[in-house]
Amino acid sequence: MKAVEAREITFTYQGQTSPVLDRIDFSLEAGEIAALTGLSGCGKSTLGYCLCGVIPRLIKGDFSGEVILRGRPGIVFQDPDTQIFMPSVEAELAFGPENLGLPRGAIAVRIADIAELVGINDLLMLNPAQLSGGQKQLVALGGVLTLSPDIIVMDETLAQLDAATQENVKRILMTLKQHGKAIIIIEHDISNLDIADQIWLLERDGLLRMPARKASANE
Amino acid sequence: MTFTSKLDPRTKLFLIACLSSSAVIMSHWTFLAVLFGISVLLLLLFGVNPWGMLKKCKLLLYMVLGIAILQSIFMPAGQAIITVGSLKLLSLGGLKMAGEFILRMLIIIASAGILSTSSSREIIQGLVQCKLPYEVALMASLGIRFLPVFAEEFRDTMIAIQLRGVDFKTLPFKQKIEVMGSLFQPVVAGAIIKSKALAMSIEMRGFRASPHRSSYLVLKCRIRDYVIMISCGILTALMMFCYFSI
Amino acid sequence: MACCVCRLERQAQMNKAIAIEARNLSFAYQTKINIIKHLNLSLYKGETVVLLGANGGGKTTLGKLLTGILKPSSGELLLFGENLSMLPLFKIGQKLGYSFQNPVQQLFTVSVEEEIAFGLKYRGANAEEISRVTEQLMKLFEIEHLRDAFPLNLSWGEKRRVVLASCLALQPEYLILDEPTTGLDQKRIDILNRVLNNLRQEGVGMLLISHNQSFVRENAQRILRMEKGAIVDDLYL
Repeated sequence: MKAVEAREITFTYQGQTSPVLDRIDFSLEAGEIAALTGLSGCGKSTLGYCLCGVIPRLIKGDFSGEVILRGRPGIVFQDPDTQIFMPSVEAELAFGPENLGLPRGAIAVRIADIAELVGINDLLMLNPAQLSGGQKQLVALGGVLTLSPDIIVMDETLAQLDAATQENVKRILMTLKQHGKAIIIIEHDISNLDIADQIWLLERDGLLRMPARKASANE
Repeated sequence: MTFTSKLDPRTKLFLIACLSSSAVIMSHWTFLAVLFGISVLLLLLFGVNPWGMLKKCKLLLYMVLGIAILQSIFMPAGQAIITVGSLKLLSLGGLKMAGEFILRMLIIIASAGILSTSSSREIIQGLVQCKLPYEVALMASLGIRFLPVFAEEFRDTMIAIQLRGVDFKTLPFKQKIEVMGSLFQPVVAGAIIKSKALAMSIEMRGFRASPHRSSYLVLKCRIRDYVIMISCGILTALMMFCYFSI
Repeated sequence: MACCVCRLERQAQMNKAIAIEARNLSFAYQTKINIIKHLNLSLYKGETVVLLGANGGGKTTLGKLLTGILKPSSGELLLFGENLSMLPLFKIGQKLGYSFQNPVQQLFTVSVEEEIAFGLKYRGANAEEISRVTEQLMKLFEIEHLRDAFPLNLSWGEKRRVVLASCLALQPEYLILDEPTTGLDQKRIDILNRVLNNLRQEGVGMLLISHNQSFVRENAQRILRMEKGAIVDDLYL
């Protein structure tokens, strides 16, 4: 089943004249990981926004085309400083499930599970403002995962993590993939593309799909 | 300290509501002085260092002082202390009024200090359990956060300027004005962009996704909370009675 | 053994040219986490040091201490022999170039061109020099087409390039770059590598904080590893 399907999406930011994205097609099956790569400033983040509904719902501009999302989307934004707003890591992780109206017991279970998975057990009682950039990024990831999203977009989350944590997050993504989540990572570092089933290279003239590294290695 | 910091945020909200509304209603300096004494005492009880607080709101205090001086000059009443020709520059009445204004502001600042011993999450929950809609409480708390974000933005900018090797203090006046003027737009725009990004992230985390919102944090008033609230209410009523019967 | 000898030689060579020195440096935030503990460190002119370590280990904090943004709670810091805590921030800025982990914190003008020109302009450079340096850097970092754009509206990688260009415009004697490759694609990282290599040839020393392995391999002459606020490994390559 296709979890994400985008057809002919074109987007121009308010106040700009030329489109950032021009008639882009994209699709991703549930249980697959796609990596988006390309030069900085070519619209990767913008495309990521389109593939989880931030555009056109929350960012103004000229949008055309169609995006179908089958499941709940979640996104880890690039800037760790503007996506954390609660006074404790625990409250941050609770925010999503609270919004969904989950009972307290279930929220407690989710917080414990996700904190364990992401490796932020020790940070639960701390104020996120005191954390380092990389730790904030992990908390942001945790805050998205407690929502239990079906479609996950991660905007250069790995870049700010140390090597061991990067490997851990990659393992987490592989587990999520096995649970049928569709995952889109925006990533520059070629050494992190090994987990991707598909690699999409974004260029000015549209999206090109490349064979996955794994596939090419086998061939 | 442990006793007071474990109080329910609603108790604190009630306390500061009593304090600040009394400060606004009463306009007699003896009453205000008593209220001020009480608020300093409360700050100490809650483990907040009053000096530290004063230092933190230096800028606000200067503004209060400035307004007080203007007030005492432009609203002359009673016996003159300093006169220039026929103009009363400083009068006893004006001075009293300024003093009352300063006391009142200090009481309100102290109230904020008491509230700051609870985290914003607890205060939001306190308001929600007082039947305020969650959206309103969250927006209010984020709105209050906008000011620190703005201040932070400004501080970062000043650091960034100096790290470019520019000594703002010794710049010629004309250039100083030029820099300040050019900073205005980026600092304001920066704070707005940050707030928008925050709003986006809140929306994407399922805010308002379900008609029913649950809460992981649940506050429970204990006996001591009720005792403090009731005694505080009685005390406030007594003071009001005294004030209006004079 | 060979490495040890080489290291001694190296240190002997460079002893005269210490850029930054930390003596028994400690730092604690009010909340008592992320502490730097009794840290001793010498960074030399003309040497490229990479600072590695787990998230939350104090790398950024150390960078901010060395730049004077944070004040140590105890210990001493010397910048080119001068007590760093006594120097006003702008004096430090005239010698050190520092790029924040989050580029947003460092952008404060209305256009990319002004951002890069800012330091030069208010330090009394003439218009001709300002325009020459600004043009050169915009071309180098491929941001010419963005010259009139509002910096805060740019993408993360574009902001990063603007910040790097603004730092380099001032020709610092020492550079501290906190995760300079986040947001940059491989092509732009290659450009940065070239730029840093040129600066190295000119004798500029630098401290790079990075998780990007190929960037580290490309630049490091000496690797420091930090764990829980202490330097646990100091290795010359």
